[in-house]
Amino acid sequence: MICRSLLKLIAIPTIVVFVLFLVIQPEAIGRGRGGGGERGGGGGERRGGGGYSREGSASEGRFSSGKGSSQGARTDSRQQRGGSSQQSRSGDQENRSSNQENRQSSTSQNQAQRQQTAKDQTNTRQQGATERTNADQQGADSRQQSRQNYGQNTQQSRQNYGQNMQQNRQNYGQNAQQNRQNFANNYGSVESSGAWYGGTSPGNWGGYYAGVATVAGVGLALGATVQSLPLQSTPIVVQGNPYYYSGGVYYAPQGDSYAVVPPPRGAVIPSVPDSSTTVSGAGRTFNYSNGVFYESTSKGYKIVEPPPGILITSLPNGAVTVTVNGVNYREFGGVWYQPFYSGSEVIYQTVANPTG
Amino acid sequence: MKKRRWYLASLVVTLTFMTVPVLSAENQSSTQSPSELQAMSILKNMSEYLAHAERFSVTIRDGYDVVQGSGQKIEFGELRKVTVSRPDRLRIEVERSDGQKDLVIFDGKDMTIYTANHNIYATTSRQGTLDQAIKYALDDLKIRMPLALMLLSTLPSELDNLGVAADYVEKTTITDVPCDHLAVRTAGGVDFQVWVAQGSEPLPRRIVITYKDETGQPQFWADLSSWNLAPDVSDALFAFIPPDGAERIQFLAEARSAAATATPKKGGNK
Repeated sequence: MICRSLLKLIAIPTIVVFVLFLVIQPEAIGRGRGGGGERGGGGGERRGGGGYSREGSASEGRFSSGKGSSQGARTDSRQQRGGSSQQSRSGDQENRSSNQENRQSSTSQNQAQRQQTAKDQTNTRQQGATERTNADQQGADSRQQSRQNYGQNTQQSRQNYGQNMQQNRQNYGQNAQQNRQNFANNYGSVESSGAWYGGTSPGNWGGYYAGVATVAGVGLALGATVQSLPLQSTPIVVQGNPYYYSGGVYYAPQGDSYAVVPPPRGAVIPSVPDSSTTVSGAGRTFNYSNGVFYESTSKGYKIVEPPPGILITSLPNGAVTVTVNGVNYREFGGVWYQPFYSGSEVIYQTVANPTG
Repeated sequence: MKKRRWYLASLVVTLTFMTVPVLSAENQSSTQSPSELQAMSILKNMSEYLAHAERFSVTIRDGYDVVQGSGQKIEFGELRKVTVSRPDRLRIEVERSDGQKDLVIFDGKDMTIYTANHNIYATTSRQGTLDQAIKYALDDLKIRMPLALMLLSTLPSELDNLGVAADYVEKTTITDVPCDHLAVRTAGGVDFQVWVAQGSEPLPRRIVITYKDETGQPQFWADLSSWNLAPDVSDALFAFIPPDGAERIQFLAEARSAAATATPKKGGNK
């Protein structure tokens, strides 16, 4: 009797557990299919800089990765993996379509705007390559910097967001350049054909952009004059001369109006153009934008002459080819560059002035 | 007593059923299933066939995700026309989705890359086989050459080195020729799928690579079409004649290593 009830005691719970197991198992699998989705969609801050970088781990089309395999992830059932990618894909699509709406509303403003955005994207793609090149040299350091840079942009965007339509646009295609362009639109001087009227002696900032038609990618011609400064411009003084800085453009008083001038070396500005990227070399780090190098100081960002060995991926439109002793260089704003192939990309490395 | 026997029997039966799934799972993981064997065989056939082809040309239309800082995936792509003539000739014409046009040529002596948009090229002397040249281009010069593995005459052993495990997914007929669809895992955290043409020419028609350990699990995909196993391989195809005004520059990797060798104490290129 005791024996029987003991057996009963064991058998009945066992059967109940087994039945429960059979019932629960399909549910568990079902949940497993969907559950992975959260993993697939998250993160993505590994490469900073915003915009649309063209370089990534999939771009090389290799059959192996630099990373070691994680056995844990690989033991997942095939269904789980399939489900996970499906979920994250659909989530991604939602993001994309909402982004698209933003994009449409923001870029339908005018054609110039769209062109600008395209240009930005091109720049960013090339900048992506530089960051990669730097990463080769500097490892995690440079990546961290670009992450910080990205963070700054994001923060900036957040601050700008919602202030007005103009800045909304700036948020999206990131940037100051667009701000400038809006400004240009207001004053009707978008065409980038005027030549900077300044002097021609190299080294002197008056000739800093000698022969250069525009501040590249900006649309506001150097030498163009405006009747009033844009809102939120910052006064700066360089070697006793007054300038105004707004969204990456520099203005100098000229009679009753203000002339767009090249970035004056030695000028210290509170923040760098949002379109700038971080470049490193010779133990220093710079923000680079449109042929101008900024170095962080305690007071702000100082416009400096870069040391040799800095790699950048795109030169401003006005860069000229100069052949010295049979070697072709590029020169822009008193900075000399030599082109190289880095992988399949043509990049530019700063060099000492070969004529001096 | 009858009741007792019933309880005992039902307990035994239940325990047996509970054990079966565990045992069968162990069996599955220790031996290859027929579909896995079939898949490995198809993969091997394909790799042997490609590796032993004396020459071939193929058009590759590829695309790849770049996971942006925001987490958004953006796809870029390109069109590549590849001509291989073993043992030592290669020509790749590239048109990227942004319009940049590149040409990569190896003629057994020199490796050249030319970018039409800049009218710029770089040439480096590289005597040797195509396999050696491809590895140099990839590992040292970092030239983009997606699916470069497929161009190596050592493809079968390269796949072995990756630790591939393949499974058969399905036969598909919606490709331009009927294909076997294989799911392949490597030991290195990269999965790929390949669609191999059925019949006497087991060539890859489509490849999808998933970098599952990377953030956002980006994919690379490629459609391979216009396979030709007897393409024109005249010398002219592999000769690079710089267009008018083309500027010759150096590979950064070579310039830096040359500078490091020439002035080791300065060590200026860090």
